[in-house]
Amino acid sequence: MSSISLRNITKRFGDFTAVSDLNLEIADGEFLALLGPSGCGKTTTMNMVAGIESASSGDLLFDGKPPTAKRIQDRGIGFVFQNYAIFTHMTVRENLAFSLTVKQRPQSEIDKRVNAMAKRMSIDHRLDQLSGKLSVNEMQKVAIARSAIAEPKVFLLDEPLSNLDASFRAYMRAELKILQHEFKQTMVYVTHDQIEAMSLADRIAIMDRGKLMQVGAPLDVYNNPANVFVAQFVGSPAINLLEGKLVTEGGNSSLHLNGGETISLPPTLAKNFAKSSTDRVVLGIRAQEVKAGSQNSANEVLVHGMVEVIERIGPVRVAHVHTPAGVVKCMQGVDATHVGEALTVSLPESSCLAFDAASGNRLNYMGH
Amino acid sequence: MAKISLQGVVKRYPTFTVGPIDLEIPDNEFFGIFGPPSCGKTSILKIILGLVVPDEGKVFVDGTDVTTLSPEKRNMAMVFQNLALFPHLNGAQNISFPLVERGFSKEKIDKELERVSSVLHVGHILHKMPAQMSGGERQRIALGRAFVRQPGAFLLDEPIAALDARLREEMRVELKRLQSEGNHTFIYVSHDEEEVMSVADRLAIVVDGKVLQVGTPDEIYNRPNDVRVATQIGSPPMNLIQGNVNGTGRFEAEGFEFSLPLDFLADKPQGATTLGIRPENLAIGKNPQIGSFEAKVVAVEPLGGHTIVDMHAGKQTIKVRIAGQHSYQDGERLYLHPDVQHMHFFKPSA
Repeated sequence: MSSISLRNITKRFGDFTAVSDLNLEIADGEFLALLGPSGCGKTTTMNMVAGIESASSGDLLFDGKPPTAKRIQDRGIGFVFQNYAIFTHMTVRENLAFSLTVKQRPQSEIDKRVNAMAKRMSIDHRLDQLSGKLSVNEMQKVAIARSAIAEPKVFLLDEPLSNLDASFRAYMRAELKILQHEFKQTMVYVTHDQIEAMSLADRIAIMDRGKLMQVGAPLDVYNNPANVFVAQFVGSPAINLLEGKLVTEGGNSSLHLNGGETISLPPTLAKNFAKSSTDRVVLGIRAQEVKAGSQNSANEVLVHGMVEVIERIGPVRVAHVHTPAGVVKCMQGVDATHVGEALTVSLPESSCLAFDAASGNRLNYMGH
Repeated sequence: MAKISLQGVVKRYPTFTVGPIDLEIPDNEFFGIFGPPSCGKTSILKIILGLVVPDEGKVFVDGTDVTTLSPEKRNMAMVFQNLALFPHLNGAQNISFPLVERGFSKEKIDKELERVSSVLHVGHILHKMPAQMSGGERQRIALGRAFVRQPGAFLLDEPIAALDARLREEMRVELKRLQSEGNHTFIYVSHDEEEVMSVADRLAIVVDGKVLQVGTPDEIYNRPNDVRVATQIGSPPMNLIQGNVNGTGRFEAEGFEFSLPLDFLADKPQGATTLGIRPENLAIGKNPQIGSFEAKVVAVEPLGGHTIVDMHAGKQTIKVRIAGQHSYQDGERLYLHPDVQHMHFFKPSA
C-alpha cells in the first residue's frame, strides 16, 4: 500500500513528447484508471510508475519519497499485461507459487497462499494443469492471481481485459473491483475502454496527446466534463456535439448550426455561450437526455431531422437522427420510431453542455 | 445483391464438427453470425466463400449450386479482422488493385475510385500509405477494396474487432449505413454480441458448431430458445438462477426464495428449473413486497447513462441494470423484484 505522486512529469522520445508536464496524485489504496485513445501517453505514464521508463524531467514519489530500491523487483509492484504473461510450460500451481518460491518463503506458507488465491479466483480445479492448456480467459485469471499473490504495494494493469470475449469481460470487471476492495492495494489501470474505466475506478485520469485532460470520479467526469475531449471520450453512446456560430440580435441569441439551420437558444444557455472566446461554439448533449418530439417548453432547443438508423444496444434503442448539423442520437421516446421518419428532437436546456469551439473548453463547467 | 442458402452443410475437422447447418440469407440482408471464440462461425463464412468445401450438404447463390465452385467464381468479397492491405501501396492503389488486376482502363478505374471514396468518405486519405493511417482509416480502405469489385455479397470476419472501443461504435453504424444505402448482402461474423445485435437485420447464434437460433435481434433478445443463447446475448448477460417451483407458487433457490403469481404459473412446469432474468428486468426496492427477495449490494458500476449493481442473494450473484445514476453502499441490504413478464424458464442444467 502506497501513495504515488507524479509532479511535472515529462517524457520525451527524441523529438516526440509522449507525456507533457503531468501532475497526478494517486492516494493510498485508490483504484485509478488512466483512460485515453491509442498514443495518448497512458502506457508510458504507467511504465514510468513501474520504473520501466524514467522521466525526462519531473519527480515521481512513493509515499512522498523518491523510489529508493534500485531494482524494479524490489519496489513491490505487480504487473498484469494485455497479453497474459504466464509460464505456459508450468502448471497453474507453479505459476502462482513462483514469486513466493523466488522469495524463499516456507513451503507450508506457499501452499496455503496458493490454495487460497486459487480458490479466490475460481481456478482451484485447474491447479495441477499446464497453464498453456487453459483457455485465454483462464490464462488471464492466472496472470492476475500470480501478481496478486505477491501482495504488491502497487498493482499496475495494462489493458488486462482487451483480449477476452465480451461476456467474460463483463464478469472480470466485477471480479477485479471486488478483488481491489479485498486487497486494498493502490491500483493503476490503463485502458482505452471508457466502460471499464467508469465501472472499475475510484477516479479516472483522461489523457490526450500526452496531456492530462481531467481527473475525477466516474460520474464527475461524465456529468461535468471540463472540455470537448472528455465529453466525447466518456459515456456511451458518444455525446452529441453540434457546432455553430453564436448570433445575438436585439437581446435574443441563436445558434447558426454548421449545415444551415438556425436554432434559438434559451436564456441560460445563451449566457453560457456568450463567454466563448470567439463566436464559434459547440453544444453537447448526451443521447440519454434527448427526447423525440417537442415538449412545448421554453427551456428546450429543437432540431429537425430524419431518422437514418435505429441502433439497438442491449435493452435500449438509439435513433440516429440525420440533421443538417450532423447526426443527433436520441434515446427518449423512440420505442415506436422507424427509419425514414421525420423527427424533431428536443434538447432540454438543463442537460446542454456549452463549449468554446476554439479552445474546446467547457463554458458552463462547475470547477472545483 | 445475392441470395445465399446453406442446406444440410457439414464440415468435419479432426476434433470438431460444424453442422449440419441450414441457413437462408435473402438478398440485401445484413446477416450476423455470432458465437463464442472457436464455435465454428468463421468456418461457416469460409464455406460460403468457397475456401472450404463441405463434406456434406450444398451451398446455393441465387439458386445456383456453388458447393464446389472456387472462390473467385462466386463473386464475393471478404474483409478480415487483420486487414490485408499492401503496405507499399497508398490508399488509392490499394482500393483500385482488384480493377488493375482485371485490366480495367484508367478512366474506368478513376471513376470507380471516385464512387467508392465518396461512399466511404476516404477522399482525404487516398494519398496516404497504410502505415500513416489510423486503424479506422485502414479499415475503410480495406472495405473500399472490397466495394470496388461490386461483389454479390460481402463477407466480414470481425472487421472492426482490432479497433479502439470508441471507434468501433462509430464504425458499426457506418457499416450499417453502407449496407442499407447500397442494398448489399452483408454476412457479418463477430464474437461481440452488442456489435452484431446493433447492426444485423437477422442473426444466427452458433455454439459448438451448431446453429442454435436464427432470428431478428428482438426475437433473439426477448425469446431465446436455449439457455446458451440467453447467456451469450446481453451485457451483462442474463442472470440464471437454479431452483425449484413448488406447488404453492414459490420459487426456491439456494439461500433465498420468492413467490410467483399462481395464474402466471398455470402453464409452467413445476419442479426443478433454471430461471433466467435479464439485469434490466429486476427492480431494486428498499422494502419487501410480494414477489421480492432480499439481496446484498457487492459492487456498483456507475456507467453514466445507466448503473449496474452486483448483488448477492444466497450464494448467487445477480446483476441488475437500472437506467440513470444511483448510489448504493457496498453491503447494503435491499429487495429485488423480478418482473414476471420477462422471466424465462429453462430445463435445469446438468
